Amino acid sequence: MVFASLEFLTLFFPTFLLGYAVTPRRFRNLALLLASWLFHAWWSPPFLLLFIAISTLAWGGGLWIARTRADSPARRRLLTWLIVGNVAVLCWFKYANILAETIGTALSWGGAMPLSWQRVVLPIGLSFTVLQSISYFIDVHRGTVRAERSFINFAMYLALFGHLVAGPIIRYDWIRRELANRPFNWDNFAAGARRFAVGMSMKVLIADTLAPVVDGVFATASPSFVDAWIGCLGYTLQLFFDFAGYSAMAIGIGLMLGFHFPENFDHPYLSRNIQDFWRRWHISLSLWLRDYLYIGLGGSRGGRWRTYRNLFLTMAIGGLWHGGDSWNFLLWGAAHGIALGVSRYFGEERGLTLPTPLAHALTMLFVVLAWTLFRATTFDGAVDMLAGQFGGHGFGLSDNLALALRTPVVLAFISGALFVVVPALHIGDRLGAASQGVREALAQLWPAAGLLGAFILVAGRGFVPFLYFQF
Amino acid sequence: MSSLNVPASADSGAPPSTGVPLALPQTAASGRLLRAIPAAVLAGLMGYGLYAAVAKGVGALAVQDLAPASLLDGEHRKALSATLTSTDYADAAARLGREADWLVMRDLGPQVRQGCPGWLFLADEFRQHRDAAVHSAQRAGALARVGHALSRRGVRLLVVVVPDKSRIEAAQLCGFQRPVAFADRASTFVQQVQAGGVQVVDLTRTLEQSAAPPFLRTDTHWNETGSSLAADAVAAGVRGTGIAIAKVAPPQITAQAATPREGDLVRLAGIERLPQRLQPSPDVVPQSTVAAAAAGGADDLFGDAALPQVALVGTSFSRNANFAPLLATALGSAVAGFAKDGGDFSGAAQAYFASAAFRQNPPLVLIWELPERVIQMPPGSAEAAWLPVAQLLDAARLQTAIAAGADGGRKH
Repeated sequence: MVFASLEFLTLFFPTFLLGYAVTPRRFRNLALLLASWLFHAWWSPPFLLLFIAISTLAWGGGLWIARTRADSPARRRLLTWLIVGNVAVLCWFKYANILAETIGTALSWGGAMPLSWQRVVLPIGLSFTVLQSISYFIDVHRGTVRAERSFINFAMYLALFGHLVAGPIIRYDWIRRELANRPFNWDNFAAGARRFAVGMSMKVLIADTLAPVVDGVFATASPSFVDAWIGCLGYTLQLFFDFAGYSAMAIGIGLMLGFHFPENFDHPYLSRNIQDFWRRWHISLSLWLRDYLYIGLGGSRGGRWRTYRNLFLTMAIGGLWHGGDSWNFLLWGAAHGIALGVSRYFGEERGLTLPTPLAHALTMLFVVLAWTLFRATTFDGAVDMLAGQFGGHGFGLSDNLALALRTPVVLAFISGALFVVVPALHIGDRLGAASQGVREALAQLWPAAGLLGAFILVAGRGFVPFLYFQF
Repeated sequence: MSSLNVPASADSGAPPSTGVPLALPQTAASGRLLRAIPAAVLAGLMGYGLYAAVAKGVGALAVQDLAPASLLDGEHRKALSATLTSTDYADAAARLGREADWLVMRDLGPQVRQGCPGWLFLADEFRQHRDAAVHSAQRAGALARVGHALSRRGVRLLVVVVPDKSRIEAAQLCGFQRPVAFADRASTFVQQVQAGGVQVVDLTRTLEQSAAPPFLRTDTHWNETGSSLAADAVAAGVRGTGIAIAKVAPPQITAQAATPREGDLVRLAGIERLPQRLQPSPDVVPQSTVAAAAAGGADDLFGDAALPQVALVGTSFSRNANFAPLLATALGSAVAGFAKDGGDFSGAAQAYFASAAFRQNPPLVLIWELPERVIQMPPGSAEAAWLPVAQLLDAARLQTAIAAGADGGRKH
């Protein structure tokens, strides 16, 4: 189930909260663990067994690392095998299909019969679980954290339904105190509920409303200039509101239960360069990539060209992590790696500074064009869409898109754009202290109204899956 | 920035820093009561939703049929989800959403568009499809093969194309445009079918020449003015086949006074339960009543004379505005109706060919009515399997061929 669904809002979550509230404090972690496993099993009971196995191995692996001597080759070998094992599981479920497809295509060029292949299904949350496990192993190895002795606490850290499916990527160190001791009180619940309401409004009212238009454009062959840009800008907004909305809901659920997850987005579309973008977009992932991959490759310690290489590899692997259905994700990551290198060269090495509006515009242009690669389901589709964006297929608005641009969709576009841009205007500061009471009231009222509107839509229209769900 | 921040709880350690400020602005005015509003709304929605779910029997459903097979194949979860979406509040929510869209934004949902005030149109009539020409040609080819197969059984096929409402009532679009590519959609298809040796009645010219609007304002379908003109044109088409149809007393059609009629497009938009004054004004049209004709005379020992020699397959157009009885009157003969609402291109025909009625009492003339908008639609899975073997009128052979086609597809 997803958060914006009747199954979650009217069955799973209220039942869980009622049970959690009456559960004695010392059993709450167990209750949360069992509920999280039930949440996981809703998608696929057999994959729950895989998840429990991964959790058990990760817990045991952490304890084993802690028992080996700190700087011994045995510990490094153990760490290596644990990481390789987790990555192998992820690679099988995530990339086996595309590898089989690529090999099959190559064989067919040689005249051979195409491969017969039974598609492998990716278990939900596996990508996030593996990253969290790897971060745990490395942190235990580095001595940043002590290995968790309680299986229930550790399994709950991995399984917590709030962030299991699509992040944020939570490090064990960030919540280890709260695993052992956290409050379940009205203040946290109220703050978490507000955050959850904000997220649900973002996801349902904006992202889901834009989804049919975006899907329609990306399914169209040879889109015109206007069509391609409406589709791409629509996806730019849809992806942010979908993913940031989901993160807000996950943070809100965590807060309701007494956990404090860090922010995952910080107005990424106000970035002034690509480095700034990656400090604002999917922050938990970019921090993970920095701390466990970029630094592990050597970071910026090996001279200029090694630094560029490490940036490129980190972003390419990060791109690949996003999806296994198309090589476009790898290309998208590689493009960002190149952009980071270019930005670093001109910014840090040559000292070039652009006027803020120009820097912002160029950054957004790159980000938006890269999203085209990210969204298109095939490489040819991406090229076709990009060609449209540069006027390769004519300019006018197509009839189908004109049909799809109903008033609610146009309002979602405008609302989404305003939501992105308005924080940059610092309206609150300009209005002054006199209006602060009104602003504070609005800050509570609009999420409540948005939640009500979103609930009506969810109940009436069914559900639209989270975009990052597939990762 | 403030709307995305989270306050730190006083009871736990500070959350890990990511360089992002996490505190909401706190002022003298921000009271606990204000901060409780989103939580109260969430709790209220969850509480009411859970109550409604339990009242619908979700509790019992959750613990019944916990067989491994049901859990593994998702049937148990589907049953729970279906129960949740069938609650009264889900229906009320859907209705509230649609009505609010109409009242606030004059939006009628994804399936309905308004042209001139009060004139509603089906969005599908404006939708362009990928590979449109291929689908059109496939369907024309299927009709040609079916026509030949029917003629070998002594049945003449007569195809009737009903033009889009938006084509005939173009003056009521008020700036809402039909795609230019649709200008020749119907005529091209008619030519393709005729090239396959099948007779076609294209109702475009007939309905364009109607003195009064032939379509209902708030409904997809024609009114009795339109259906009457169409019936006359189709009857002329049947007579044009040269096949002698036995005369049978037609049904008695009695005109009634004009009354308000709720259109299907109003229901499709989900606003039919709004007060009348807040909806598009309803059509006020005469809706004739039909009484079946008397049975055959004393010489008709087995009642065979009344067995229809003309059968009609098609869509809801054939079932609306008394089209079939009007056609029977225009023909002076009985017409057996086998049309299906939502039949699209071939739903009704597929069902008819598999029926005992076709096997035991095939007609002399089969009228196949189809709306213009289905010509270029991508076929659904059932139709896609049927189109290549449409000429196999024997239901058993047809199923075997479809199954063989599916297996062959899987082997590749």
